Amino acid sequence: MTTVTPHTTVNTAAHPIQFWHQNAVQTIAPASGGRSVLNYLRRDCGLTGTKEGCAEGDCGACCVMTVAQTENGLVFESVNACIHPVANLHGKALLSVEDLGTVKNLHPVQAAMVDAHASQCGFCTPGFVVSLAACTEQARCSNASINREQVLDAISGNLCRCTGYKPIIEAGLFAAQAKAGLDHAAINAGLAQLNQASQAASATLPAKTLPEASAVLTPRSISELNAAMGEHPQAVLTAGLTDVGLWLNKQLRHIPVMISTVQVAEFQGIHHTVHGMNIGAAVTLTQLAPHLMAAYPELHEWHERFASVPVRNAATMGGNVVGGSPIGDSMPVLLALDAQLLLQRGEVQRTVALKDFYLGYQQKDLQAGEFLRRIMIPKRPKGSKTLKLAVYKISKRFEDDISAVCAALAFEVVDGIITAARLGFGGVAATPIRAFSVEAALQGKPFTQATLEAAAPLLEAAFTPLSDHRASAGYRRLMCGNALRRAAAQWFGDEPTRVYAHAEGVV
Amino acid sequence: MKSLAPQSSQSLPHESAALQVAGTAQYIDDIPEIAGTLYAAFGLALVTHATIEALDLSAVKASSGVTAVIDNSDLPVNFSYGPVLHDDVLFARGEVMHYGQALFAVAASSHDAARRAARAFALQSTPLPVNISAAEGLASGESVVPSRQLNIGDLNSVKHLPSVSGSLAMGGQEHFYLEGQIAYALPTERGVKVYSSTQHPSEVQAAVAEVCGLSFNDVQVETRRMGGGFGGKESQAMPCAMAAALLVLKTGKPVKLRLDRDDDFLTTGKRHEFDVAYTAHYEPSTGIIAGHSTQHLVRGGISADFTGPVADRALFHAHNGYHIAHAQFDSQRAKTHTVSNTAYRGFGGPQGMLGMEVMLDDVARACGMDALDVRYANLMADVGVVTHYGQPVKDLVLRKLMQRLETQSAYRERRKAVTAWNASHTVLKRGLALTPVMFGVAFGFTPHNQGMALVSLLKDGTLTVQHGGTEMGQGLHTKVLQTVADVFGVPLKQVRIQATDTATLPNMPATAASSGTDLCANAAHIAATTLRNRIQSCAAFDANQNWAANANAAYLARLALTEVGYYTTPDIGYDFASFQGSPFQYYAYGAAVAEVLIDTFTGETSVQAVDILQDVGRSINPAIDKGQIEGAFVQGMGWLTTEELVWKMDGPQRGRLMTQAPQTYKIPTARDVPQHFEVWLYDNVNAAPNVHGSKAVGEPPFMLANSVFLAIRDAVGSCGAGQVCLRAPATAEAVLNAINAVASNTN
Repeated sequence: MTTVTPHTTVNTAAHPIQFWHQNAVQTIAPASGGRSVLNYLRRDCGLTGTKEGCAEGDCGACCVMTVAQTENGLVFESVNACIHPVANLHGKALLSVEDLGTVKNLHPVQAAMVDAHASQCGFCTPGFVVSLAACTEQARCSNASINREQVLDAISGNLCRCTGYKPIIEAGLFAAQAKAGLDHAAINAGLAQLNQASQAASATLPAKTLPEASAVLTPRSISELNAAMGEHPQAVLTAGLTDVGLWLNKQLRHIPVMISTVQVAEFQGIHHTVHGMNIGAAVTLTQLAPHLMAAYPELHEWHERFASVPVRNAATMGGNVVGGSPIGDSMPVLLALDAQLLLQRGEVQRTVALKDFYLGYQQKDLQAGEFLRRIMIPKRPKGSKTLKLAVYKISKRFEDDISAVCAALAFEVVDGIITAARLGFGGVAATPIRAFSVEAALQGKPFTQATLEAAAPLLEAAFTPLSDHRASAGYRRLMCGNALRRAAAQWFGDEPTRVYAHAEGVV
Repeated sequence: MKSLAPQSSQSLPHESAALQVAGTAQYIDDIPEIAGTLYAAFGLALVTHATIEALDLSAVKASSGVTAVIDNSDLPVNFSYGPVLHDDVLFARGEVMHYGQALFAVAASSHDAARRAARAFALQSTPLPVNISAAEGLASGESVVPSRQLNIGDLNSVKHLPSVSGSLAMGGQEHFYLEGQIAYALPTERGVKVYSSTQHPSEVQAAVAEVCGLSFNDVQVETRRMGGGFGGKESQAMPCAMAAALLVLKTGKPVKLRLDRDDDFLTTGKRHEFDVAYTAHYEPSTGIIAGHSTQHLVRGGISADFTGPVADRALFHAHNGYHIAHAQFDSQRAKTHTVSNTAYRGFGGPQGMLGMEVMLDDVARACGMDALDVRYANLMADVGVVTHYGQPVKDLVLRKLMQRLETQSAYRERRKAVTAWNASHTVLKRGLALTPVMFGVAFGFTPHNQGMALVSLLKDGTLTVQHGGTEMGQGLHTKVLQTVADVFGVPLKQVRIQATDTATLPNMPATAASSGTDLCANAAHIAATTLRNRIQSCAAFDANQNWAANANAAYLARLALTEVGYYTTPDIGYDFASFQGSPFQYYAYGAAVAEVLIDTFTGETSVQAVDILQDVGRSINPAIDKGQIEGAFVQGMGWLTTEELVWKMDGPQRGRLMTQAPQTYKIPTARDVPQHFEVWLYDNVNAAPNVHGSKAVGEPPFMLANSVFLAIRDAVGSCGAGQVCLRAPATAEAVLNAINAVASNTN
């Protein structure tokens, strides 16, 4: 495990990267922090059970498990090793398929996969094993049961071309009943040892270097972040790397230095205040989901269709917002919920409404050296004012697909009158966008089916989307209008409106 | 020596299952690398059709870590290859013919160094006219293989009947094997050894030898397993192997060439797009189609590859299991500036059958009949039937099979429920369809129907078996092991499969056409039986002793403990020119019922329930067979619903594939599979002589997914009046367009 001299020298105060793997604390030099976990396993460790299927986080053949110690106990998560940097393993245990079981001593998930005839060509199999094991091991922590929905969710980021999935689902359900599994005490002990090692960590630690990697600085506070950004003004700020990973793997972009925000203390956590919900910039979509859906159960289907479990375990809403893709799924919802962004540069903070943040294609109201600290979602109206919310994602595939159109429709209603409408869209313009003119036309109108249906043609004329491989411009326009028509049918009609059975009943 | 109960009917696990779940099953990229291994990548053209004026590779050669570069100057003069015609080039020569065509290959110190270097070329070129769709290709008069016309009966005699005309555009399909194309080539004393992820090691051996100027016996190709094939690793495995081998000869180092997924999408062939247009003449009171004229417009891509046999098989299966007395077919095989289309599970069968099923659906709608009744009315009679290409059908069980599925799936009750739902709902509409499949088994090219196997008894009583077929997940090795184990009456674990290897079993056909088990298990059965009989004939043979003792006894008696089995498929042969004869040994039958729900606001579709009844003869391994059926069905469902290949149709990169990775090309996920997904095996024994009375299962169930497309058509039809016009894949946008078209008919 050696030894290409990194092109870039990083400051000596950079923290080494430490994680628990193969029953030992692994210490990696920051200069190698951008090495993908997949290359680390396959090329640096010779552990070839984890496969590369697509190198963009869309097939799941490379899924590995991370385990973290939290105040709520162990957290088992699957992530896509191909777009996960070793830097993001810091403080966690890394388990690949080889760590789950052996041919002679299979993990219950592995045994169930054999018994259910769930592997054919076998290339996707290790990824499925890991995804299912992350799910069953998490459930074992609390003796929870696992239903079919949870199995489907667990494997939402895993593609299989051979089996048609039925035996894999059966294997997941069967394995969920097993009592045996990983030795959680041993994992806890390993993480405790890791914790001790990192307390003692200093420049004296022998850190391994890995070939062909970007350097990654891992500031642990905003002050360290500011220092790092000052020192490396050209560095790319990263979080889950689910987008930047593709720049590296597909565009072969040379990024000498990345600054990972995932350890910045001030970027962690979700805080509920009298004004609403403050979401730290490094909070993952998985961490956010229960909080968001407690306040907005209407987001259940949106959440389920937003990327996949392994991507959501790494990706952050902050990264999605700052990335600013016109087809990102966070932004339509955040626009409809009137989210605000807390930006910071040095010690200077400012608040920008998300609706004002996007200036043009890949242009944002974000200055050099400025970063997103948190996203703020106002409290849901209660009492005499109610919020009606509907979110519709249109894509070719239900799960793990990029939106052709994502429509988020929010209406504040008082005494049957629309006092405010916020209609957020993705996929219809150069940026995530609100339909201000249609909102204005709706304001003050009675909240009725007729009102919404009458506004639908206005929405169809509101944007001039492009035609591309996801959908035609005409279809996208129609979907804007039909989003409103469907919301009307859903709220005022008396028949089912969703083809996805599990999408019904949550609204 | 106690014999075990027969295992060749049991649901034993896949022979590699435990290795696969543990992550220790070795794929080519997992083989421990020899020191000094180099990594290769292709340089891909970023234009679609252009004259090459100059190709400057100096920056490629100067790129970090680069060891060697090969281009056309490293190949034999005018080198070409191909599975049927030799009209493929390894590197674009004179002209770039499609976006992403390889120009050269580079070897470097790492995978990414090679990929980075591969982008450093400078190509000067002059654009040429670009044909993307088959219609464009046809209009410019270019075809990859000659067209074919068939005249059956006398269509003029039924033209007085009412008619319906329609068309169906069917998209292609990316194989999306999870393991991309890969070859790992090693220098040997006189040539190369190539580990190739291929369904056809013998063909890879030949291609490598020819491009390297080596004799075949100085090239060895080994394939232990593939991470999926589906037809995409027959001819498509050759380029990686050829380039890696050439780079081995140039550098003297081992060379691995593994395509990045995007490069795999851009450079490898796919299922053929078909545009089908038809006019059917029918009896309005019965729904019987008296005759039809049908055109298949096939997109071939830049070269022949398998386009000829694929288009022919579409014609073989264009009547599915129906008897239609009068027909005219016109099959045009257009040349286009897209990657050359290739074999893909079903091999034209799906396209041919779906055209027929859609025609029947139109007739049913025109007659106001349930489409199932129209299907029954048109089915082949149960006895004495000869197909439109002259093959007598010996075991026509289709009607009985469909009737049983109709009952088991409660089709009629569900039809009533669907009709009632659609009458009382406006937002969501339901659709239901039961469609049959009758698929001919054997290679259409008769000489390919041969198999060979090598069985050895070792002196510890274990056995090894090697055969000409390859394992891509379909369970071929498991079925062969079951067959051999039973001959010796030993448990499966006592028999090991050896990797498929041209060093011992050369001259083998591809593992394709659903024929792997038929060819290889039969050959293994012959070899094992001969070997067992020989050992049992040994004077010292003792039935009370185990195989180890008897192997030693046979050795001492100087009896060969290894045997070759050779098998050729009986009773087949047809005349290519007249399109008459018996290309198939037998037919595999099946039927499926699919129920769908569609959203009239968006066109989104959800498959709600699927019931399948499939004839696999007497199953050697019911679990493996069910796995093939389920997997094929879902793959077919993907082809017809979410899997859309989109080529750029305008601008400077016209012809570029825009859906070139799983980010943009969407195969089904687990959530797309209905919870109600029942698969039954039809109780049957193959009427043709075949190993254990079994039937092939690889391809036939792919076409069961036609039921999903027909169910969507059914749901769309309930939204209005008149003919349904729905393209495949039925993406949400396509479905909504079709809904809006029928809805406007009512006004």
